[in-house]
Amino acid sequence: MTLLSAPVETVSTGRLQISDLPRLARRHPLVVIGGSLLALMIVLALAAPLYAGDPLNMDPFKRLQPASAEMWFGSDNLGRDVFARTVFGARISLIVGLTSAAGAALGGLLIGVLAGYSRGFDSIAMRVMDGLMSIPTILLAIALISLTGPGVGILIVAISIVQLPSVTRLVRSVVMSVRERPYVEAALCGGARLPKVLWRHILPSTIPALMVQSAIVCADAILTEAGLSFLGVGVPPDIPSWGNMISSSRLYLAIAPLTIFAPGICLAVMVLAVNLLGDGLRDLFDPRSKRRR
Amino acid sequence: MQMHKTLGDEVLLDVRDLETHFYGDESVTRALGGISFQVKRGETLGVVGESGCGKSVTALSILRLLPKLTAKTVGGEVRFGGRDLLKLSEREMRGIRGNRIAMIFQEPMTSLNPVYTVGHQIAEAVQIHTKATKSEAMAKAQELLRLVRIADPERRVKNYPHEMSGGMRQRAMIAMALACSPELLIADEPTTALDVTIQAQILRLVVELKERTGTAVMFITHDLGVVAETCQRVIVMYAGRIVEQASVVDLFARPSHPYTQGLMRSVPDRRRGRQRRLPEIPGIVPSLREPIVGCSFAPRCPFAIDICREKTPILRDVLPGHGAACWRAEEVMGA
Amino acid sequence: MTAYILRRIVSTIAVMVMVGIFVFLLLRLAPGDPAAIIAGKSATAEMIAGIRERLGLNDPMPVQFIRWVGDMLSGDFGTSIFAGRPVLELIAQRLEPTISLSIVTMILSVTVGVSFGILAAWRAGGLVDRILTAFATLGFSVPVFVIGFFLIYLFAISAHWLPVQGYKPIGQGLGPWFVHLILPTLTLSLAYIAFIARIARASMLEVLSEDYMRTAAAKGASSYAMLFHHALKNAGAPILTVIGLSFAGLIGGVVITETVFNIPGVGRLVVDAINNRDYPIIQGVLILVSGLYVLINLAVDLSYTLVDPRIRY
Repeated sequence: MTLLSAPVETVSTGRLQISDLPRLARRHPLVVIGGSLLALMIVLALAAPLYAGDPLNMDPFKRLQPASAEMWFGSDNLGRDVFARTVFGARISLIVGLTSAAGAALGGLLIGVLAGYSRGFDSIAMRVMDGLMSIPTILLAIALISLTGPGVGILIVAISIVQLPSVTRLVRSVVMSVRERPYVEAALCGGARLPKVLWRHILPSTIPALMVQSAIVCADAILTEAGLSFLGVGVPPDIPSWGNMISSSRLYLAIAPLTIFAPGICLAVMVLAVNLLGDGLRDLFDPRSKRRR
Repeated sequence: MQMHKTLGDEVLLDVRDLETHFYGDESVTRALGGISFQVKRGETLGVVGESGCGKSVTALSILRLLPKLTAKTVGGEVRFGGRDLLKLSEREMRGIRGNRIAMIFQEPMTSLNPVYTVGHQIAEAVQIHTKATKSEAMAKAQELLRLVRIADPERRVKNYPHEMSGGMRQRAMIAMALACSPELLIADEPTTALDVTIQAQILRLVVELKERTGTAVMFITHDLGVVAETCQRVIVMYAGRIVEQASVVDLFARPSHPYTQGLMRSVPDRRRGRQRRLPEIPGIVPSLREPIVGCSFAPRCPFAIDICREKTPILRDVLPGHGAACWRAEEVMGA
Repeated sequence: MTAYILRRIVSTIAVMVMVGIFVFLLLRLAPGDPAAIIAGKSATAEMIAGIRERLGLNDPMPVQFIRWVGDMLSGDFGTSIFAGRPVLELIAQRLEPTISLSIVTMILSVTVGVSFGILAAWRAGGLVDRILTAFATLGFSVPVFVIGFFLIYLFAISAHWLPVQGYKPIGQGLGPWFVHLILPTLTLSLAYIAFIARIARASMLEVLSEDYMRTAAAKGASSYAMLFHHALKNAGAPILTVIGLSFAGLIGGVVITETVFNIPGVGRLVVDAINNRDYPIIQGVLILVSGLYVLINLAVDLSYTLVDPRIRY
């Protein structure tokens, strides 16, 4: 029974072989470039204590110093090491970006699958999503954060909620198209229980689109975190984050441009890496999109 | 070949060794493998073959309407009015399209722009090639709609395509093509997408208009029955090449290529509607991505012998004015 | 047709009710007693009780909600806790810079973005297309404020061509107004141009592969006529939709750009309101911005009827 009810697609596609990887990498360079760039940034962020100084240490005698052998990116207005802060700042971006993406993906998956299956739930959920979507993301995030005051936890929750509609709509549309497929109908007629059908047949088919969307959400989440922190309503100011660094240095743009551009460029590179990964994954899963884009 | 030179024999379009390639991600498809044929002034030439044999590519190559990134005419000449169309500038070519050579397409449902009225679109064809004002062009459009037998043309010029039936849209397409009295009309399966009864009406219309205006017609179809009704001469295409070329009478009397014979056995019953595939000929059309050794029809051919699989036959006259690209044409003809 | 318009208006109202519920719950979910927040830190228990009574906070939630909606419909968006003045009045004071920035950005982004998109689609795979694709990916990745500081550094601090920041009301002359808007507009537009160009390119590519484009070519139509006469009118509707939907994103960009350039607009008002816990202002801005967004998209949907004759609802 279990063998028979397996979707035809997965049977015919077969498993990805290690030997296929070089060929896939050549055909989809974006995945490789974006993925390795992101991996590099993750490693650098994790290993930060090994090679970077203390990001919190203030030195009133070394305020707004230019780049030097001691402090590669110079120091900020409180005499803190910009290089160290930049490296440690990557952690916040990554934590917020990845967890928010995961949160939005899981929440969206849950609501989307239910909405795709239950008409009653669908009409309520979609009205809620419509409402959420008509509030600009930054404003909605600001409003949610205003409930508790700035903090990493509420930030992640707020960004996840803000990103929920896009994921939900995507999952819902995939579920709605898949549930009409013959193998799903067949499994249901064959007596399989609904949760099992959802798990075995419907969830797997949402994975490709979900992965692509998660990358987009992750890039957006990193940008939103930086934006909110820049506005002074994101990560609390005592934690080094790229948005905070830029916010607190903006009066010194003329004197110490590196205090702004070092975190700014890192931010752009990280978002670019995630975007490239997302674009690459989309090409990988849907070869037709390559020409369109 | 004996030719009685009369006015009607003046060559209008002279295609020589036309070769068109399509470029995929990792492959080149030789859609046209060097074809040569002529269209004489005022005649109707049928171009017959299965889907994918290169009929439409021939038409699009002549008018240079192939998709720019994926297709390219790599060789040959298209002589029209004393000049090689392949060597004209894009600007000069625009002066030919819709003016001296017009084309109608297979899908009347999607070939008209949905956001403009039919009258507007016909008038546009007039205005591109003449100095007519907008109102003169609209008047002309109305007149053309009357010419293609659309009832109530005063009202119909103001219709949008979605307000018309398929047959009416195809009539409007024909009106658009005739806007500038072209010397050559290329009709690419103009009736394939239509109902059987409408098909007959459109065919009659094309034949009648052709006689009235004296325009030459290149009639592309997969249906030999249509050829018999409308054309004087026929070329039969297979896998990007011409395999047989003759007058309609000769072709039906003495088909000299096994493929043509196969086609004739599978002439669809027109009352049962359209039929694209030819179940009577076993096998499939070869892939044009790899170079073909020998005759491209050999794998499907009941007459195939060793030479067929080794050397490509060229088009040669088996009778005066009747060419076939087959090593065993004489035997095939008698079979 | 009328039925469609009615249906569309009803769904618009439904969305606004949804937004209203969110925004209403916002103040109720906030930790602490709203009356205590409004009364301030030095308030006595009696004062708080008085405020509760006056604001009707003792009534059941649905009653409060309906009263709140009714007040807004009659133009009363409440009073700022911090400034003690009507919310609507405070927003109105900040409206001009925000509207100037949004409209100039919109005009620049749509004209440049759509033109780039058309150009890229026309020669898909060509040099312009590739440059544009690269530019678009970059435009999505560099945050607005980084672009802003980069432009300030380049054109204001290093070159001294343009003012570093600030805003001059249009009443003080068109020249100063425009000069102060150049950098903020450019900052906000770059990502937007990239976005619109990408959408325009995709819609145009889709339309360019339609059969009727081949018909137009077979007529002898020029490239210009093909692109702008035949293709753009068909590709226009999807482009317009996406522009309408992206309005929400524009507002987010406006908030950040106002902070980068010290522009006293609605965005600054909201950010300051957060720091002051000034909920009535946050609520008012959320309701107004969302209402505007919903109305814009309603207008876009209804304008389809003008572009596409096939639509007969």
